[in-house]
Amino acid sequence: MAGVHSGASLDDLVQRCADERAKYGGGTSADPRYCLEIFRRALVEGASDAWSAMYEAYYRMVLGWVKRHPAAKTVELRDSLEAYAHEVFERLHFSNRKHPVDVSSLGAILTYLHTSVNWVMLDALRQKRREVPLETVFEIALPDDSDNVLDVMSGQELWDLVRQVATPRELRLAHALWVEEYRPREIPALLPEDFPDIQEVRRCSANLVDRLRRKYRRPAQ
Amino acid sequence: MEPCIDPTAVTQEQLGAYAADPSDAPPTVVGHIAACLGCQQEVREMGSFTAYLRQQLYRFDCPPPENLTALVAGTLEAARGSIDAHMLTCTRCQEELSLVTAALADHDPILDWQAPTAVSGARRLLASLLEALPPGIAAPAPALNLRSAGAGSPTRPRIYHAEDVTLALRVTPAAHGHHHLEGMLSSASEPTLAMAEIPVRLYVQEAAAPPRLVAEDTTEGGTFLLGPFPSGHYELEVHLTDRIIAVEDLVW
Repeated sequence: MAGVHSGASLDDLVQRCADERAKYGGGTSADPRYCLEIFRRALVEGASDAWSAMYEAYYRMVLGWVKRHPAAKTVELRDSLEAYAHEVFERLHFSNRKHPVDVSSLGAILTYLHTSVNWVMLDALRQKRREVPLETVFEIALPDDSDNVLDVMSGQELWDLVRQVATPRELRLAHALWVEEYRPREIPALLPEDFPDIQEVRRCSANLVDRLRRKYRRPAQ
Repeated sequence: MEPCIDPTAVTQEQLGAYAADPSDAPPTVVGHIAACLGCQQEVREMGSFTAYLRQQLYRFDCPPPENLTALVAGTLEAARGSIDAHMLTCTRCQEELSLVTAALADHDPILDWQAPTAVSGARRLLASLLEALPPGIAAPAPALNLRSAGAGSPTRPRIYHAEDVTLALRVTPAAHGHHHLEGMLSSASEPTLAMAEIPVRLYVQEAAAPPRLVAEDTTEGGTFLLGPFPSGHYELEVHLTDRIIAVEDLVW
């Protein structure tokens, strides 16, 4: 269907796309092919003017999805919601280069954008939760190479080491504290049977950290 | 490393707790650390080590947002079992899954816009030109029933078919080389179609331009009359409640 309008000027397509979207929103007869052709030129032909037109036409719609996303209402995210809407288009751009997006129907493309909003918002949520206070950032340093054998290893490798020294109960605490990034004071509510109070959380985590440090410290040269 | 000035003053556990959250430490512990260079160094190293663990382990085993979304959407193909197992223990992922579920439940009708449509979900059917009417399809009598434009000799009606709908079209010459398009709509399974007012739209297909709407009308007694229009390529759409019947490549 997209080929029907392949010879039309971009300005014409933009105007007709806007007209048809307004009709669709009003519940009257509407033709998606003008909008689809803009997407096709942007994504298949890589036309930068079509990309700009597509962004202009759909940015507000995507921003609306971002604003309505439950993650946006759950926590105060690091960046503005406008920045996340922009990121959705960035992802579309890079994803399309790796795996061309289906442009066979407007519904398919819009569904892809709608799904991308979920990815971006969940990523934003995860980034927000891993944020640490600025003063702590300055203290984060990779363990001294002369002092331990951990060096820089993947999360899975590091977790395997944790498993070697931790009891099942400590492992649940380690996962909650370091993998899921719960704060110590949140643990008694999360794992009440294992850790009924904050003192037990502190005692157990301090023990585990101490054991990990001692076990993986390099032998003195 | 500096030695502790008083090894009996604080335990390793207290140092660890201080490293994790100094604001909650008892005054005796705070006082000792303030005075002891060895314990200050120990606390710094513990804090640094803990920060390293958090940095390296954060969500390392959690499925990426793409997979969580696919899980909710029912489109996840691989690793379903491992994600299900992860969900049982990871409360962050459980929380995110509920967020995605809520987000996808907030369905935007525009996502259903698949084809030219009068109402959301309507299908667009391309009518095919019939050489002969298929069995069971009532043959209209276009020569008798089509609205007459009254000028010149009409061409022979052409019969189009889409599912149970039959569309008879006839081009009638008008003044200045223009033509009218006459049409009649019928359906063997929906006799009431002839009584309804059905929107009809005619587009002209121009070179290097998208189809342009040139006429919009409704049927009357199952018939319509559009024009006159100059010679050209046209596209007709009949907008039924649940589908659109389209005739492309009309030429006169």
